Amino acid sequence: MSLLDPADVLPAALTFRLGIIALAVALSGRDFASRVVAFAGSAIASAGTGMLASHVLSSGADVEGVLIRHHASGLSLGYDVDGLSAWFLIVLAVLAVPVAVYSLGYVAHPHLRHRSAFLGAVFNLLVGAVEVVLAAGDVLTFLCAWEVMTLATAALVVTEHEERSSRRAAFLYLALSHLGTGCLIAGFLTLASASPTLSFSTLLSQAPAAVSMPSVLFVLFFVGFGVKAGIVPLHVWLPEAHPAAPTSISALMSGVLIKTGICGIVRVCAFGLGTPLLSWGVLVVLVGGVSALLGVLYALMQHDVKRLLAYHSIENIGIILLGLGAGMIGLAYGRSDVAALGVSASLYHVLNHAVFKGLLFLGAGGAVMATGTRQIEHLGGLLRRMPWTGLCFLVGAMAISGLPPLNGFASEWLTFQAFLFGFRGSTEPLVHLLFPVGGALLALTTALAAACFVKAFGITFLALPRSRSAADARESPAVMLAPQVVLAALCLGLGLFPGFVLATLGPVVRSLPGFAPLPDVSAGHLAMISGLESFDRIVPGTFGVAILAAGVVALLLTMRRRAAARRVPTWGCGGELTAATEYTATAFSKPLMMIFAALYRPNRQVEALTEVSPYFAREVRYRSEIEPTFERHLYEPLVRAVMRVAGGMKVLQAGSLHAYLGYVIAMVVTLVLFAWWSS
Amino acid sequence: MTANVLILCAAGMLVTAYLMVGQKALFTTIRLYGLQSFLLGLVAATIAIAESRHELFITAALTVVLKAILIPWFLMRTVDRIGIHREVEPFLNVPASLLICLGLTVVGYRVSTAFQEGARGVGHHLIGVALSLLLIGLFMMVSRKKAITQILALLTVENAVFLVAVGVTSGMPLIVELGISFDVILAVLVLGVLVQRIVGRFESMDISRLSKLKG
Repeated sequence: MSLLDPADVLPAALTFRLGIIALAVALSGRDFASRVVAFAGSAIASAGTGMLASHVLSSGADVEGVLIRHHASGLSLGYDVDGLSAWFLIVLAVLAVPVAVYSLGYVAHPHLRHRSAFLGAVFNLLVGAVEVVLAAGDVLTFLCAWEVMTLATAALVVTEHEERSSRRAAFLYLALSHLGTGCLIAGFLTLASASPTLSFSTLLSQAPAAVSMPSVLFVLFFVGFGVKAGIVPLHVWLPEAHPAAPTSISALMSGVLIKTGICGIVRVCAFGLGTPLLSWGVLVVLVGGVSALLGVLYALMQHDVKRLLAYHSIENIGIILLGLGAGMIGLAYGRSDVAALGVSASLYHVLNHAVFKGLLFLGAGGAVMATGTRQIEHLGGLLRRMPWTGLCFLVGAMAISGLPPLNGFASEWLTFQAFLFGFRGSTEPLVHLLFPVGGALLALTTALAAACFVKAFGITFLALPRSRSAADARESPAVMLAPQVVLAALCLGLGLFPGFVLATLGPVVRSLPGFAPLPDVSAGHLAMISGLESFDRIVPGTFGVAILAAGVVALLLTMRRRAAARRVPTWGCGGELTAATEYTATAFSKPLMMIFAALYRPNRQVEALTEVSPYFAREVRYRSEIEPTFERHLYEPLVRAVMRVAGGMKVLQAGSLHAYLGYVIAMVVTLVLFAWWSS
Repeated sequence: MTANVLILCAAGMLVTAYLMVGQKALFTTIRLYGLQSFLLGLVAATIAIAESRHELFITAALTVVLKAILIPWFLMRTVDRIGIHREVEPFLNVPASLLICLGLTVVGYRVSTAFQEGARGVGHHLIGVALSLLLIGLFMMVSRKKAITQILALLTVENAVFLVAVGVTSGMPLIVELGISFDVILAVLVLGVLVQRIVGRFESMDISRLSKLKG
């Protein structure tokens, strides 16, 4: 920091990235050099912006500056790293650095090697765009970067453009993203009409008071940012796009990209449009609850590991929104302590989700690369063949399931706290009803997530390999393992020291409008106690130490008894135990499918191939699928309606020169008459 | 006196535009355009004499030479060379077209009442005529099939703009006028070549067949 003025760091990092992009493209003939330049450079640039963000958080002063200034028109693109931006920039850096290192090994895979230059260049473009989106100081900068981010992501989704499914996923992503961007532009234009400048600080502090219908604006922004965040029912692009991209990109998309939507929701929707109304908070809690529950329920039915993780992203966005919604409701009825708790939980979970979801995607990417399949039904027994990957994946799976002492527990517990105790002091019956329901939804979601990851880990890593490729799997190279180990250590560290994280989050939350006089939510580095008397004083640190101690004791006990242990083959009811007799992922999730049959509407086909007698089937084929509810009942009718209207509009596009000239003259006559009328 | 001459010339231009709409023979239409441009030159010359602004003589001479003689000659040669039907083929029949033009003239005149009369006292009439000419020109583009009539319609629109520029304002700088004249002649040349290409490709000058190019 002493070498550079803080205000120069972001422009310097972005210029550096542009240089890397140019160099990576110039080296496109030489895959290795191009890869090393692009990803190592990206890691350095990300580290730089991460240091800038931590400087902002530790010094408490915003860093502002100008990225580009066009002197002739007086137009400038400015940035402003405040507390919230800094927090999200740290989240970005925490994930982007390991992902860049991982990509060094991952992109070396024969399938991807020849695309090194493309992937490296677009990766840098994407990370740079996300940095600008998070740090944007005015609307114009924000929207430009937002579009670059969308387009770069779409380009990465179609990396394997030979696949029809990739192209379809990218199209879906672009279509929905532009719907969202349209809503954002409409919202910002409405705000800008009541503001002297386009910078966020004046726009959000002055304009909302002058706008007549803030609720309409809220919905516009919520939809606009929600598309990117992947809230239900705008999530349909997410499970298509995330698996289509290369895994290291999926990790970045799932960990950070969708968080730009959350950043926008926190900055603009939740606290930017004046004090949030109660109804807004209720909407956020409901959408969050539904996203969390449906995300995990659909994840349970997925047997493609990357799709499964993508649905879990929807779930975690739901959890983040639950905390945020609790915070908004708290602020709406004047309990700023509850509000601080909810928002802190939400922002904490943003970081945690980035860490453990990144870890899980990186682990899954290693497994997919080693075996060549994403279907967990074809895997199995990988723990023996890929012990480090398996161990790190286990840590991630435990974190996402909310098990102490890992980080998922810490933030989900804080969210619980906000819900379980937050409704005290409110006279609103709706709040009394909603808060326990929100807590219950969160509990159900977490439990189902645990079930889902028992399946994902168990089927993938335990038992016998179900296919030749799984049996031949080799451990990933060290350059891919090191980032996973770092992220796994972060999962543990962020879970054991929540007080430290909350102390860092304090100034971030206080910088939000409406939170100025606030008691510190953290006390000490080990505990996460708020200043409230009624809150449960749980200390994950002690919890974790207790669990670790129990584990050590259990280990010691088994070690002592090992001498007496007798090694025999597992009893197979008289038959031989092979991979075909193993528990499958379909079978594991079957009970849940039956419980939630009303939601899934499962459709199964059993087909028995017989030769001699119908009682002796030679082969039985079983197929089961669940109904894609949102696609079929929401989007298909919508697409049909749009196509119908477009078909009707085709009459205007007659292709006849005279018709077009006719439009021109009709327009001219109308304008002339209008000019006369209004003069 | 000057005002009367100006209004007379402008009215003459409007009449030629009506005749162009009502005329079926292609050659006559081109000649009518020449007459219209000649009247425009007369407007410029009248102002040049009345206000003794000699640079306007150059404008008048340019207009007459280029638009009243050179361009009509070139267009007639093009028509001759490609040997097409020497008849205008409108989408609408003549009475209906004339009625619509009448309506457009009413619009033009009605709108022109909102403008100031100006120093010469003819602003209302000139702007009314110019707007009517502009709308009639556009209407001719819409209602005619042949590419040559499209060019004539475009040139009529250009005349309308020029009429306002010369008659109502105190005139454009000479360099601008030279530029515009050059533009017009270039446009006509390019369009003439384009017409020949269209005829060569489609064996017709009917541009409604261009819609076949649509994918």
